[in-house]
Amino acid sequence: MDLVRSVTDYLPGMLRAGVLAFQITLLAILLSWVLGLATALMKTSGNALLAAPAGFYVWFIRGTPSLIQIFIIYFGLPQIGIRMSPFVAGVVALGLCSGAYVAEVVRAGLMAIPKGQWESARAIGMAPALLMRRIILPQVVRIIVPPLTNEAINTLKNTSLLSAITVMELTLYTQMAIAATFRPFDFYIMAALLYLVMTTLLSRFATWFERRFQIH
Amino acid sequence: MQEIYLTSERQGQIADPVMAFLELTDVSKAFGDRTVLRNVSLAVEKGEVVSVIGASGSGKSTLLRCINLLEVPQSGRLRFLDRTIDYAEVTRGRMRQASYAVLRQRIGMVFQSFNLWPHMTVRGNVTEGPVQVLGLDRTEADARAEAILAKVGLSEKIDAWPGTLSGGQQQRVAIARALAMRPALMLFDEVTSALDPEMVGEVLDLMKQLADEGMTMLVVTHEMGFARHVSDRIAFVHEGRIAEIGPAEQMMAAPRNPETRRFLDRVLHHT
Repeated sequence: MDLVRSVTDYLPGMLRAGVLAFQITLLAILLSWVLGLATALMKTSGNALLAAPAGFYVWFIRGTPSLIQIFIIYFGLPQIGIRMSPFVAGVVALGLCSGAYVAEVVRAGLMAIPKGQWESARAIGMAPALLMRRIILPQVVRIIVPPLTNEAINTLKNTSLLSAITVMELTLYTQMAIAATFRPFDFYIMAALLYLVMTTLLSRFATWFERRFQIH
Repeated sequence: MQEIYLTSERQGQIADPVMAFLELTDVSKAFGDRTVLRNVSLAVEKGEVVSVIGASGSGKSTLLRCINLLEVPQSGRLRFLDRTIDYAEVTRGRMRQASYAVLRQRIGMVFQSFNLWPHMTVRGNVTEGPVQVLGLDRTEADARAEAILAKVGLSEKIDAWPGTLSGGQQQRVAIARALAMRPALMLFDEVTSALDPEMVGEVLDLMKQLADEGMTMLVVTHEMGFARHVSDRIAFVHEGRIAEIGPAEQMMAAPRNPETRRFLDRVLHHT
């Protein structure tokens, strides 16, 4: 009986916290795609001035814990005058973190496109930007959907780290519910189930996308 | 008096060389410390079909690729239509992107491995250049694609995906894609080498048809029958140089250069 009461009492709050985590995830994914694409293009540009900062970014992010990156953004940056709300700091931190991995995925995708694809587009008179947009990226996108899905799911799960910077997402909310009810088993299982629903939604969408745009 | 006057006028015309349609002068290209082309010069007239033959690694494909700047030689000059390009300038000062594009729009290229864009249908492949590069509107580009696909005998495949076509069909689509740009020159880079033997004929027939219609063509090929019967001249490339160039019949029947003779002996007796 207690279980039923506490879950029903806190369920709306948990759902709201889950939705917040999902929103942060979607925004962070968008940011990571922009960053990842730009970084991959810079790294493969053959121009050292562009490749160096891109390489540093990937090296730094991959070599440091996500929690430290989040702390640098939320607690560290205010010291040099850059202040963000927990929500914005969370999106920026997760987006930056994921962007480095997306960059590597995109770079692998670019390298998987046969040289002949670039050459036939150049031979027809396409300028680099047009060639990238019309010929290369549409093929890269199809290749990288599975690894990008993994990365999106990682980002979603990483939103739980934002509990450390007071973002009232699912993990922090769950902890508060447990503090009030002393029912860790019920609530952590509940939280896990909600995370599962969200990650399943993401991978379902990816599967649909892959089917929709597969190459015949 | 009249006679002499006419003669001198004719002489004047001969002395004043007719501008070649395409002219490569002193082209040299190295990849790292491996020299691939050594001071190659070649002039092609409008409407002429020139086959380029030679052993693999002799530099004949590189020569072709220098013409539309898929490779940039370290030195030499290219003249095509009204345009002269100094390759050293391209290497050094970086030619403007727009100039690359303008040159390439007028030169069609067909590759050994077809290189169709797999995420687009046949229609998409053939209209992509006209729409995106030339700025044609969709209906116009569609009409052009339909006409060209009819010409290459693939009207019924217009909405097919490249991956569902045979090699010969893919290569004919690749030719259609190049023709849709209305090029003034077509480059063929060993376009039948990746085909199953039974599909070589349909591609060569199409190329012969183009030649008959007066298309200017530069054809790197191992098809000696095509070189002999369709091209006007044959150039034999050996170790980065054009070792011999001459009328197709004479090159095949009576080559002067011992290297040409050796090469032809090899390829003709093994096929």
